Amino acid sequence: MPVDPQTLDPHLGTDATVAWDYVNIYDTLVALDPSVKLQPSLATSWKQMDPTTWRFTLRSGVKFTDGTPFNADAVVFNILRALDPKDPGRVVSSGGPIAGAKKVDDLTVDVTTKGPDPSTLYGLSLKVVYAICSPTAVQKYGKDYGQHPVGTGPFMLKSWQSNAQVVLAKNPDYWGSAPTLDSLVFKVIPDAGDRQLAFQNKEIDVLLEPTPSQMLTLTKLPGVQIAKAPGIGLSYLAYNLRYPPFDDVNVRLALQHAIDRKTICSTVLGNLAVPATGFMNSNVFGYKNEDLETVYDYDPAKAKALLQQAGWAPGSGGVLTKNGKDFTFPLVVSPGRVPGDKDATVACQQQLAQVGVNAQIVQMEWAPFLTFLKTQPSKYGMFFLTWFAVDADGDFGLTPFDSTQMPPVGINRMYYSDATFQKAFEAGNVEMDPTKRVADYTAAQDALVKNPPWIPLFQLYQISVLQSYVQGYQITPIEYYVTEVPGVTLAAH
Amino acid sequence: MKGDWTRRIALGILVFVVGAAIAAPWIAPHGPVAQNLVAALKAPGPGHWLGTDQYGRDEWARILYGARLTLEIAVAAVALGLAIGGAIGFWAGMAGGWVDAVWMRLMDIVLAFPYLLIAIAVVTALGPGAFHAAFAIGAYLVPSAARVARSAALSLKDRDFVEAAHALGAGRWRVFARHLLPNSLSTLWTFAGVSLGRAVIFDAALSFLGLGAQPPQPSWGDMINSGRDYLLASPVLTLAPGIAILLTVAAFNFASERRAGLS
Amino acid sequence: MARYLLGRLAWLVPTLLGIAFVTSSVLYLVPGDPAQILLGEMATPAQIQALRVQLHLNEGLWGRYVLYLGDTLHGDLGRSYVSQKPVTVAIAGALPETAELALTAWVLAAAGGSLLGVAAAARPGTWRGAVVTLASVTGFSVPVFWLGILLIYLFASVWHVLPTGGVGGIRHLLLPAVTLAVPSAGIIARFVADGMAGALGADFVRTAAAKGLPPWAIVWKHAFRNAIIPAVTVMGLQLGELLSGVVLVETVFAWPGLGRLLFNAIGQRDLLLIQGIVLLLAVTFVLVNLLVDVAYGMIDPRIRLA
Repeated sequence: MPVDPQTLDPHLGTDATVAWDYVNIYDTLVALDPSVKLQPSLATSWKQMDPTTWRFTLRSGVKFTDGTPFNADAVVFNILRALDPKDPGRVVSSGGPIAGAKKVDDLTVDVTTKGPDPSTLYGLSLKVVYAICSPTAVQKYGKDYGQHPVGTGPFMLKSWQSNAQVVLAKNPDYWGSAPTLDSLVFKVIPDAGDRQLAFQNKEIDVLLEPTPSQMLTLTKLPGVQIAKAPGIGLSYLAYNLRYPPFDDVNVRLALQHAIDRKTICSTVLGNLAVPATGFMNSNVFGYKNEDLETVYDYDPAKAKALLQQAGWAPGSGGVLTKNGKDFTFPLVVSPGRVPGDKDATVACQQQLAQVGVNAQIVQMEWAPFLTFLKTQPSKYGMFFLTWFAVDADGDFGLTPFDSTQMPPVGINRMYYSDATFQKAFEAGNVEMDPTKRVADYTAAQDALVKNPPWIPLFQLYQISVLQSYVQGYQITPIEYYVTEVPGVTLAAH
Repeated sequence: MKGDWTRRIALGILVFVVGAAIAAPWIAPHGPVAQNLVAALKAPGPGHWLGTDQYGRDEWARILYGARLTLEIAVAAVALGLAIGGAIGFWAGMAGGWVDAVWMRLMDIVLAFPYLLIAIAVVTALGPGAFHAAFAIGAYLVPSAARVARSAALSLKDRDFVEAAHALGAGRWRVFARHLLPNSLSTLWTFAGVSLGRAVIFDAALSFLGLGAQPPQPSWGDMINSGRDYLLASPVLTLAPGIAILLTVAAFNFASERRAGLS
Repeated sequence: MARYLLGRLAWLVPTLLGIAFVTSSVLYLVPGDPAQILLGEMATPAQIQALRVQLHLNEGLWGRYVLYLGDTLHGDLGRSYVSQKPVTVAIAGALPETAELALTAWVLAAAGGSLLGVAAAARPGTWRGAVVTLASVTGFSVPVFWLGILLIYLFASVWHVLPTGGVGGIRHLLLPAVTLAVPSAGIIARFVADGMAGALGADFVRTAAAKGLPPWAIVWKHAFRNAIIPAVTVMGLQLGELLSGVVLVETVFAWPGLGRLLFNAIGQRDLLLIQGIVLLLAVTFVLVNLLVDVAYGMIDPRIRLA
């Protein structure tokens, strides 16, 4: 993996990469299977008591790896911890649906939501938020708990050298089917080229999240296997509507024709991704195929013509001008978040230049990038980012366009506001009937196509590269990580 | 003597690099940012002497334009470092006493921070980019420029002609402008030569870390960083910019060293 | 000698105070409210206020400096906001790795540089001398990160003899240590060669030659001993320079030391961790220089406080 997990406290971490470790240490009440269906996990069954209350029956006889029994007290403790504003529960305070939890008896828990919310169960399946930690360990280690994680999962932490490796050992008392591997080693190798060389030298058995360049060479090696699943993310170029001329919907519509998604996917991305077909990832509940291939077809001449209609005339050096101002703006990207992000951004920059639009790329590290987007709305015209609807639900999938979610409180960094969208989106969020909910979200996405906040780019696959001797490896779209390592075996090599 | 031919080669390389920097728009066969996605990662051959990168951009053109970018940054950085550091050094050296002690102690404190930390700190605060990189490298050069200027001032201060000028009632500025500066020029010139070499390396390091000139600008350090991902598919993308840096820096070092007669 | 030592030590105090001042103001370099950055996007005003008090941010530059000095002297550098580890613990985990790498590289640089320097000076004006000169200038002209990539490519990918990176014994240490050592070795070689050239022309060496001593004895027993004295200073300074190089070399070789910890911390705006590592590196540099000066003063009694 490219970065150190830093902390394995699920109520604290915000970085998706840590999930590679979490998934093996912790369990949640409910889980999503590879086909994105809800399955029992630590809860064996559940039912809705009233619009805002869900009752869970817990699995009996489960123990945390430190010996603490798993029961209703543990669940209540974890949910309240995740929601505690004094504890650094940064993930949950970003607007999760859960309001509280109450013990009914030792193996029964009631979870309440802020309002009627159809996405509750999906939310509870998120390991980065609602993983169940051992209450004893949390109390024992206090602030240092992130270095001493204890869960109920198939593996437990054995050793951890910061910036080098995380070693997990088999949990002999795992409640599910026993893991076949004795231990899992996650090596931290920051550079893509080094990860590739390490794989070729057989220093690693599984390469997670290959880059386009790695795919190019590794797929040619004999016996190498590729595990592939559709991803859950959608990469896009976002417009900042507070940065002229992106306040002009005609400009935004014109530029939709300037980007060649198909070629970007097949060249610089090395077919690691498929072109986006709508404003949500196609695996997310409520997704509508907007047929962007036709609606936003790649046609630089059309883009230029539309820009001309919007008042932009060719100026010096091939850059368009209007009222004496050049069409120039900063395009911000944080390279290395997803495979090929920098490559795709540079390719888009050049395609924008073809229609006379001068985007100036600014690279930033992840944390400064987020702070910058939050605090400097006047300093960027576009940014490249990938949105992971991690619970595979349309509520989360459409949240970036919610006009109540503009910074500093939320993630609508486009400062996008559209009345038609907002009405349909809010209706869908509280609609308990799935069919009507899909209809609401469809209307919401149709509104986005007419008044676009993004140029949707592509959906990355979820890919792992495996040595020839790795068997039984499974990969799922959810949360951008691999799951179900228990089934893997390594043949002699 | 060996000194002659090494220096001649060094000067030859410098002439070539500077020439490439100036003439890049005329001698480069392609634009440095012009993409051709379907012609990506071509091996070196006719049409593309050094092949193409992952966007189908001509590597040779990017090396040539890269020389331009690198030299611009290096010259700006050295000019900045020399102007500020030189002023501090001459002031400290001429004034002596506590002024000298305080300035030099301050410079020692700055020198205590590893150079890359200074540069990273400056760029983190200001944001990445070629201009800020030049500023960061210039800031790093200030203490060493100050030391060089100070020792030049000290060695000249007690010389007869300077003392005579003082005795004749010449003001400080006049002594500085008429005597100290002209007589220190060769020392400063040597310092500038060595510093240009270091500035080229630091610029490469910063852009390797993503803190220097931003893509699609053809910066040598950034070319190594992104070429590295394609090390196995196309090693030339990593080798070529590295060799360009090595030759340029070595040429600056050889050229200025012989001037100083260090060996 | 005692007076010289006292003088050097007296300068140490203002230098360390100055370094602490620079690191304590690191928090002010970053645009925005450090407490807000540390707590993330969703922090409540009460949380921010509490952290501002804890970090002494309400005290102003000077007030904060004084309180920061107090905390630091008590060994309290705060906690990393990303991992929630105490900064001292995070540093203690990475320090041995960097120490191992930097010291190995330093020994390699000193030994390799001395050998090169002697070889160059012992044969002035010949092709061997020229080759050695070329090697030393190439050494300090090469960008270390590129050299590292090149060595990984050759040794790990083409010849399959050494691992690509990470830690685990001498095989993992070899490539990063050599990479880090090369520029310093080039500079040390240059100074040793200059010193040797001077010493070989000196009277006592000519006397030794006149006595009919074999050339190797003249070079190593007489000339080298005298030439090494000025080179000691350079070797000491190079240990400081190596601390800059580790940021790059550790990044290239996935070496879990202070350099990478620092680079990651900068990327994540983990301000207290940045502050702690920068303080440690700068103080180390100053102390190494002090030791070098003292050693130099002992070897060469003519040196006095300048």
